[in-house]
Amino acid sequence: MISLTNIKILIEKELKHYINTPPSYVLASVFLLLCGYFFSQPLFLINQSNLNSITDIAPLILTFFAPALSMKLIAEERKTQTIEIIMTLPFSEEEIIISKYISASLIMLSTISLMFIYAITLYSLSSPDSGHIIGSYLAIFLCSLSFLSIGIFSSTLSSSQINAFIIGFAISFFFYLAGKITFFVPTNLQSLVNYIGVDSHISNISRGVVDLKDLIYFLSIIFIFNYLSIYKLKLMRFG
Amino acid sequence: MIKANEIIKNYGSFKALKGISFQALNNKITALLGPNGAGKTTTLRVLSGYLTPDSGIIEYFGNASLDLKELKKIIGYVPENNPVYEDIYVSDYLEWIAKLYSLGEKDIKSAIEKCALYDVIDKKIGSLSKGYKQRVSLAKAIIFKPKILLLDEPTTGLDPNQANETRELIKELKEDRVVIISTHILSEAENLCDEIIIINKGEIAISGAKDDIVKKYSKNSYTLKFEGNIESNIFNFENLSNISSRTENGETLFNIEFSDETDMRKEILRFAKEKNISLIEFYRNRITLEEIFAKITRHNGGL
Repeated sequence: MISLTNIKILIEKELKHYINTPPSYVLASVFLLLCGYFFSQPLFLINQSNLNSITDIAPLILTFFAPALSMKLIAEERKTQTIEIIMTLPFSEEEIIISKYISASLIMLSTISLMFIYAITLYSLSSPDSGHIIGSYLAIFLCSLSFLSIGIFSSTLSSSQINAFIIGFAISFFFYLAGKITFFVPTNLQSLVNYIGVDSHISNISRGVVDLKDLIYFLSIIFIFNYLSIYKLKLMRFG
Repeated sequence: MIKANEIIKNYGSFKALKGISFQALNNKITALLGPNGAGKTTTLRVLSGYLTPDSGIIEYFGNASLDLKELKKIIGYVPENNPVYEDIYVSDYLEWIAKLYSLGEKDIKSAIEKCALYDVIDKKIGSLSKGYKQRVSLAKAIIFKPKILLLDEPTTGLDPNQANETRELIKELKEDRVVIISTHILSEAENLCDEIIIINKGEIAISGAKDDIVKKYSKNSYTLKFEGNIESNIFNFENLSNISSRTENGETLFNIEFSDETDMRKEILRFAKEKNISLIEFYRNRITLEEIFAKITRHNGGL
């Protein structure tokens, strides 16, 4: 049975780890700088008062940022052999993965939250559509959480953080790319490929239309990759 | 008590444990000895629940169907090479572990005291010396007073003083619990442990009480040193089975072996007096664990 107390205890340790390690701040700064650049370009150059540029570019940036944030979660434990400590403490594999995922998500969401400054800027300059603004943030949140689950799964596959990053990036990029190549695939596969890619879902939600279909898409990715991570961790017990 | 029956563990085609069976008793320190790659670490990993055996049954205090999470609550484990969370403060780490086992401040203080961690409590684990890192791991393993303590090569890499301190601590910890340590330092096993399991190429070569094993492999032999040049044919004991001698600096050194277990010390002294020969050194030979280990592992093609 999954213990919420154990999850809380593990999250506390993981968050301390993130807070105590400078690379987390470097990563967050690079992410915000890139997003800031892509936000300010259309705003000041073509007076476009919306978050479309961000929702267009954020998934691509997230294909780097999410695996970079999550690559160490299991890979580092394997490399330093602390995996043997954590797996012999009274935690279940489910608790380990869920806690690590939630910790990384909290760091990710707090980084993205700093992007609320864009909304404040837009509201101070014009009257943007609130549905679009809320939807855009929700889409970025969901996309980042999905890519994080891919990142943590990649991290279970290797004891090298670099390998974990590359695998995480490749899988995330596949989901990013799928939405971009819809026109190049046979007509009968177009709707399937379109559904697999994150593009259509992000664009739906960022319009302010939160469809159950889009929510299920993101939640499915989160569930499937976290489930695979738990499964991989359980497999480690067999050597 | 831990009772392992026919434990098999393979890594792909490599057979790490080939059906080992043994037991480790309460209030005793059991040493797992063996050459590198013999299967010591795998055995401890299987006992700790980190690895699942391919087959076999392990009974912990008579219970063979203990849930993994419950099992982990009664085992304190320090893995090989002592991995640690380098960027966590010692105090934070122990508090974190204490929270996990719902322990109080008193338990944390007791672990700090037992492992002598007062001086480093506010430091990051990564900045500590090997000895202190080992103590932090021991504190983590004993803080919740586990019924079973598994220590994989606990003194490897420590300087002699640190190693002795760690051994003293382990000795104190054996009360009311099962302690299993793996080591390749035979003198450590000899001084520290009550029970011995020698494992070689994934099989148990010998196991049992240390004294029984030593007795089993010991021969009733004595070393005698006499002044002057003495001929070996003066020894006329009936049960004498083997004799060897050498002369050095006007002294003759004999190594005599008897066919039975009779204590011959008094007889030898009486014999020297009767023959009026000057006995200047005399002791009963005792086989060391190192010799037993070498005998067993070489015989089985080890080392």
